[in-house]
Amino acid sequence: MIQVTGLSFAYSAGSPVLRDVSLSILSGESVGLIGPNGAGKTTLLLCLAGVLPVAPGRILVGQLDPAIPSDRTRLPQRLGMIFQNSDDQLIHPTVEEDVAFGPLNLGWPEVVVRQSVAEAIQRVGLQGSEQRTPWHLSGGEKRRAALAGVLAMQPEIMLLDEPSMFLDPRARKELIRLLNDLPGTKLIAGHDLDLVLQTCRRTLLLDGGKIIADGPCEDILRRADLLEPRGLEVPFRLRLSPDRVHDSRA
Amino acid sequence: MASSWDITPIHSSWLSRWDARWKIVAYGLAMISTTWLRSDAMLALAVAGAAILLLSGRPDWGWLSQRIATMSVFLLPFVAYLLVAPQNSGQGEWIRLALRAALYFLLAASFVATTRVHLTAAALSSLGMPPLPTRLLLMTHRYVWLIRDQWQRIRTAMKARGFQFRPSRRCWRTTGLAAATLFLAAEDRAQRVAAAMRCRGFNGRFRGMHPPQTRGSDVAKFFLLVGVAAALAAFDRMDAWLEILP
Repeated sequence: MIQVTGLSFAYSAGSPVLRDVSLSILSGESVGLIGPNGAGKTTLLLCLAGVLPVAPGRILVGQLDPAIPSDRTRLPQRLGMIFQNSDDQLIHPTVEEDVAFGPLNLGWPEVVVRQSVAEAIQRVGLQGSEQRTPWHLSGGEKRRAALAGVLAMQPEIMLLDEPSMFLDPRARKELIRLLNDLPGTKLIAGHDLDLVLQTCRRTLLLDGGKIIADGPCEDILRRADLLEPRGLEVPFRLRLSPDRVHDSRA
Repeated sequence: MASSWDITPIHSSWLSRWDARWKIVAYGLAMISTTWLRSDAMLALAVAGAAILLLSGRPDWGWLSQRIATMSVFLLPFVAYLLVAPQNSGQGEWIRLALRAALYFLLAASFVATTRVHLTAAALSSLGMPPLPTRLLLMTHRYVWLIRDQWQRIRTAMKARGFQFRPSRRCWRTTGLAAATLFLAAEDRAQRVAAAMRCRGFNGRFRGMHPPQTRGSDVAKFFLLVGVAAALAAFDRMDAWLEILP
């Protein structure tokens, strides 16, 4: 589903942010992307989403190469991205209009757009907020509105950048439930290792633009020798219950 | 972080339910008609009519009071001149100028207070306006808000660290740096917004969820507004026409 081969990326006049990254994510897989600040997590997601320019042949997202303009145009039909800050993503004056923004861009018929918008809003539990202004929503509601905006496009792949940022514990718990209910391929980037543990089966550890570790989530998140030198900590629930296995994840 | 001018709060009214395409054309024609008004009495009548139009649109009072305050600052020199100027030194022209300014302000306010920006853009687009100006209108609206939001953040951060503006060299320097930071941060944020839009398939064309549809009431409202404005202008010029007539 996602194939990255020898991807390197540097912002202009800067040192490389990604160095020879190679990875492969299968259809339906839920993968956590963890790493310290500045590891290149967001940059990798932006490259996958076709926002940052990459060399042709380095990335394949469901047979589409984001480096090829015609493929990049078709990419939003297959891949949706939730940004770190929901405010960046909410651009319309009402929640309903904002959620409809993506489907309308895809050129879907009006009836299908309406149905898809209604389903997405219901899925994230924002019924009754359709006519509210997105900027006046709470942090958790904004996150859900942003998620609905992507879900309405029914992408097969979802990239989530720090999805639990700005969320209180209740909203975070709700988000975890939502993520576990979502079908399709998910790549979840962040420092919230507990969220990654509860939503993913596989984890990639990125540091200095390189993939340092790739394996089952619990195996990687248990390894203090891998995490602590990178400013990360073994999730609390793994320290409490070493043999715990959770099955709500995709 | 949102402020009252981020998005005009729009309450349901006969003006807000009016198809934006008919509304734009009607307001345009009404404004053109009122440029023909010459007499103080007719201008005052038009101002009163525009005020009634504005109030009937149920504008948000907080939003409106801010704009009235701004407009009052503009009108203040006119009032001050009228109070201090000697007799027969062009007061009539000043009054007409002030009335005209108030008229256009009230008309513009009644339009903005009752029409969402994206509906205006969609209507302009369907009236044949090229995509670039329409896109610019929407983007400007969005980025003005964005810069404002960024400025509020910077101000809060400065205040939280004890900054108080005083007319000193250091304060001017700090304010200058904050302004530079504002534009850099706003530019950075604007790029993120643009990236988020691209990720959702945006290709430069805005599409609305509710495509405009003309109803009988839209046409009736059109003729009402244009008719009243045209009647005022015609009545004001009646004496001139009577002179021309044989």
